[in-house]
Amino acid sequence: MEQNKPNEKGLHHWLSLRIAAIALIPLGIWLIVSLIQLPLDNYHVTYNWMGDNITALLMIITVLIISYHATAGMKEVYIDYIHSQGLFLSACYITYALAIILDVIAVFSIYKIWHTAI
Amino acid sequence: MSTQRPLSPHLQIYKPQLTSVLSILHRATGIALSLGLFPLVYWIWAIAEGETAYNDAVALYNGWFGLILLFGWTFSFFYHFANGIRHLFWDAGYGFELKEAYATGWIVVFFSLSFTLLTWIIGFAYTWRG
Repeated sequence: MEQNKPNEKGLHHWLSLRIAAIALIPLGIWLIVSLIQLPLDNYHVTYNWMGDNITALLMIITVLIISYHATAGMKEVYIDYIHSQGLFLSACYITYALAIILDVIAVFSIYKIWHTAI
Repeated sequence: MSTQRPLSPHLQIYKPQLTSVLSILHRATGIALSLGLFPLVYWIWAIAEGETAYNDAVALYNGWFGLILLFGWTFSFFYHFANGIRHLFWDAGYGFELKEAYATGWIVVFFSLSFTLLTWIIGFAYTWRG
């Protein structure tokens, strides 16, 4: 039976979701602690913080891994609840597209801040 | 069938209990956090765009609707974080006993609620400090 063959794509999906999850343990702590201690209503402090070398690098890595983990997680939800092949693929592609758009905006924005920050 | 993989039990055929409620909540908070990528990237974009755009973003987040959503995302973050670690232990083969599953479940509930409140108390304290 086709269904009983080991599913390599499924294993890859399962594993990559968890590797991203493990990476997000320290990165998530870093992000939430940063957001708590930043005076978020102060533009210049927030701007200078984001323009710092380490912040810029960590923020790019964090956003990329979050978007990866989110798309993999959403795909798992779609697999469980969307039973039409066409709708499933559409949902996946829309999710990938949105994730890529957000990634591009975030990376360019962080680069711009880092490049112009003192 | 969209793929040939094992599915999770569906909501309609499952009697609610702590373990199943927490499992559903993991999904729900995961979806909420995925959507949270939009305000996160909007915040980053606004910093790059300049002070006017940034102040607009802050005004949006500081409104009652924004604050409620941010509070929800804070809880979702801590819940998904703690329960995600619980899931990783299961993946590694630990914590499967029913007693353990309930104990770790209650720890996750306690952790996520207290850290959500703590985050907002400390966050406001920092804001008021100036």
